[in-house]
Amino acid sequence: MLFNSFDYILFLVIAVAGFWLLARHAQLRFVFVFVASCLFYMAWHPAYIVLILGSTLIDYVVGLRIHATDAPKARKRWLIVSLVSNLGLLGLFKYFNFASQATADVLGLFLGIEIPSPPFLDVLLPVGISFYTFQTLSYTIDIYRRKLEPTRNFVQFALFVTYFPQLVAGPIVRASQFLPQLQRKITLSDEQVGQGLFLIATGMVKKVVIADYLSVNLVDRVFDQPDLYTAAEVVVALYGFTMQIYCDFSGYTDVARGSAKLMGLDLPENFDRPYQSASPAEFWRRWHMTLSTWLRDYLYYPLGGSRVGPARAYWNLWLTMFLIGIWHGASWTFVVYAVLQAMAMVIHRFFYRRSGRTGATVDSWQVHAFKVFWALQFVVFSRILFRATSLQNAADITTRLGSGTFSMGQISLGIWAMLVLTFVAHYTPKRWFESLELGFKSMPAPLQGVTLAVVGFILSAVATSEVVPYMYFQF
Amino acid sequence: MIKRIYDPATPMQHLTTVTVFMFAACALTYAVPPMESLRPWIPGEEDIPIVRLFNQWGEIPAFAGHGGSYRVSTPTVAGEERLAETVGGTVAANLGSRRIVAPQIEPNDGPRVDPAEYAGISVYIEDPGGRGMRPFYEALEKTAHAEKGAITRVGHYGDSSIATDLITSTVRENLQARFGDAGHGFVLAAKGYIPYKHRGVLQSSNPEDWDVREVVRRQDRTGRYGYGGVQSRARPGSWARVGTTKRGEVGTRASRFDIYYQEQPHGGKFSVRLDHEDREVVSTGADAVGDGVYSLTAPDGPHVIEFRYARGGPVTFYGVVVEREGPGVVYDSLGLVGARANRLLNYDESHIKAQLEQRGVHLIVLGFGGNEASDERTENAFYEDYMEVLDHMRQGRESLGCLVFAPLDQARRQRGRIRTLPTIPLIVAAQQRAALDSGCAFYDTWQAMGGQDAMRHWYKAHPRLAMGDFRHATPAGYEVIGNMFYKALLAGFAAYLSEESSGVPASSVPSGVDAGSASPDSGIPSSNADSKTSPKR
Repeated sequence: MLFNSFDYILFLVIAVAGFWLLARHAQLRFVFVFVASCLFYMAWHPAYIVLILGSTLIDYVVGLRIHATDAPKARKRWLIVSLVSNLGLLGLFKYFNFASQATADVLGLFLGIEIPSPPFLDVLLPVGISFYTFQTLSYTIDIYRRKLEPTRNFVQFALFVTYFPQLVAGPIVRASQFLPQLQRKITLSDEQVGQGLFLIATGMVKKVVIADYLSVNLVDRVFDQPDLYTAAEVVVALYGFTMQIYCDFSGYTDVARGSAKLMGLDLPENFDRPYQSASPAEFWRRWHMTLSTWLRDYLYYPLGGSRVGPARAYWNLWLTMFLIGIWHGASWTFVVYAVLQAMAMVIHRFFYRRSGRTGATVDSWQVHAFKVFWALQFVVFSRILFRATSLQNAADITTRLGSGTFSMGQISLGIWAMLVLTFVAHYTPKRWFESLELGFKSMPAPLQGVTLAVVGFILSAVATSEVVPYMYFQF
Repeated sequence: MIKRIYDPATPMQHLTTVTVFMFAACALTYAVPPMESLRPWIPGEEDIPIVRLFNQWGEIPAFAGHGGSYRVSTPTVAGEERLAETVGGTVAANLGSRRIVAPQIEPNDGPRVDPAEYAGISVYIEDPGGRGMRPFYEALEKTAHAEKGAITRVGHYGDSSIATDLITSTVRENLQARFGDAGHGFVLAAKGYIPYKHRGVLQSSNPEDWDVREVVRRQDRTGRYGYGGVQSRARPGSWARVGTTKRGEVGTRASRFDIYYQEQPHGGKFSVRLDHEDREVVSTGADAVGDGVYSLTAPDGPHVIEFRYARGGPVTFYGVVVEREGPGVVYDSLGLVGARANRLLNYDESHIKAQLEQRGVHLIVLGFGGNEASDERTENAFYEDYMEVLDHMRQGRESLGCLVFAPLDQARRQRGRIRTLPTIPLIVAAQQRAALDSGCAFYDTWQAMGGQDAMRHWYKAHPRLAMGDFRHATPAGYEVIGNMFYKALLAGFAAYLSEESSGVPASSVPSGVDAGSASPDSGIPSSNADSKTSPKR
């Protein structure tokens, strides 16, 4: 089920109503939301619920087993069970076909060994597998590190894994953030109601009004047939894609966080105005924050982080960033994208260290603006690889960029208006947006209801197609 | 009570009040008729809220952002099966590029077409009298016989769906792989800033120094736009290059370049270089306005021709032809972005007649209707238009074959569903009537796509076959159409050959095709799978 639909609103109303009606029956209310979450997931492909439930059961048992013993070897053995089962599923469904094809490509290219039909697994990629895999792993790893007590309540744990607002496209919630919320008395505040409704509305607007509009009217056209566009138009499309993907993904997160708030639960922030970043490192601290921090805490730090020799520290950084990049997709374009991002981080750190800067160093606003500008250009142009359907497609786009053609006749006024408005909005002070939220929250409840309905009418009028799926669903 | 609603005591009451008022506002759309279009659901519609979404997720492409819509190189059986569930078996069977292999012919045998070569289509070319396609098939027969210099030429006019050269390049590559590569054909001399791109040919120019005049915009009152519908006026400093490509199955060799230009009083001169060697300075001056062609031959191989404005008065180009000795096929892609069929009436009648004769085409294909879809007109109005256009282009010449190529399906979002525009069936019907009434052939592209609501299914297919504007196909989608049309041409040719060998006019279908199986097996639940199109010729 997709958030950007009237149907989701109906579903949410039913789920929220059930959740609060069962407030006095804690276990029953969790069962109710768990079942609703399963139905939500099964709307895509009923059979794949087995995968997520299987993964849930394994990690539930592993968590208890790790906790039950003090023997390091046994604890490690159980952790390996969790790692192998979760990463095995992810590898099988997401990376197997690419690895198989890539091996054949490399053998053919370098050794002349032709493999006409490399092994191919004809399966769909389960929606949200990259998200829930990381969630369940955080649970077992935290227990292994003795940072978290396992829950004996299977339904609570299953709800943590399958909770519908964040199930398919994050944010990646840690057990240590979510389970304690279920274990204490859940209450609802006016603040949560107002904020939740506002987040849902803004998330929908970001997705339907901005992301879908830019996708359908600009980005898809240019990437599908780059030959028909001038270099200048391709540049506009790349900026368009940059705004599209931000509004698409952060819009999803907003709806997810808003939906959870209506049940008195908090999900972590995932974006912090990422295009205001002044460096690649800052960008990844502000973009998909729950993924970046997950890999930082569960990979980068265990590898030694920056507290090792310089060469090892650069390797740790490179590897972490490479995995963040490749997490987004299994194809050569994402491999190159990952390498590019990792190299940018390594080079940035190299010069950062050489300059003798510290966290307390403050740039003049001119220097800061200069850095923000160039960091944005890196994001915009490196995303050719993110959006391209193949290396050939990326090469075609790049060729067009070098064509020396400057007409912008195919960029409509609506596209210009959308791009200018959204980029300007992105660089406005955060408090402006917060005052808008405050204005909504201070409205009387009936007016809030009517406002939301009007937003819904506007969305329905401007929606470009039936339902455009979120981009991060299959990551 | 009012105070309690206005200022709820608890967060739960707050949430309830918001929800009640939100749904009350939605309910208003059912009570106030002008708000009808805002209704989230119409009672009686097949899709019930929430339940309807349980059918959607299976349609989410691998990466929703692009849907893998770039050209498909290696369709897999499993992928084809999945695609067939969404868009029907016929469409799925024509996805991606397939290696075309001509059947082995014994030296004394005549040309033949194996029915397997055109398997997988359900819509054929309609040409009841045989007049529309005969010149093309006659030429193709000579080409298939491998007669020396036998070149079969087709000029495919159309709107933006043709201007991408994706349908036409697919047909070109297939025909050339099957019957021989006689060169890329016609390209504009310089495109200026108009969106124009051909595949399988090298093209470059300095756009800022060219002034283009398009038949679509009626920018030249004399109506002399050249065969391709676009004049390219050179200014001092203008240059353009056209040549063979370095890679690819076809288009890598050429042996003749023809530069089409306008002769005019006080006309200026242009210089020509072939493979970086100066060849000639050509004068476009003449006593009266007319059309000229400058030809340059070279040994068959990779070549690049460059022409520059030299000096004197105005120099106006129509385009460049890249050809080989043959035997083979040349398929000219003549797309005009934003064109309606009646824009061809902007051509001076004698000029376009002379240009078509000069080019020596055996078949013109007119693929319009995409832009007319937004016109609120009757079927008869469309019919009158097409009758006039066909007469204007063909001018009663039986030696020039002609075929009307119906528009792609087009849709718009209507209360949450993607529905075919009501004008599309009208345009298709008008085109069919006009084509058959004027002795032209007709190909029902719309029906081949799946007919009613095809765009909806094409958009949801994986790989995505339609663009999000519901007007254009993706490269993968255009390739499907190109493959289907190529097979329809081949099926028609098979029927022609059978008719020639038996001396008996073929009934309606190529030999080997069961008429009963010829209806579209689109398999699309909501489309009109009981197509009106019957395979005829």
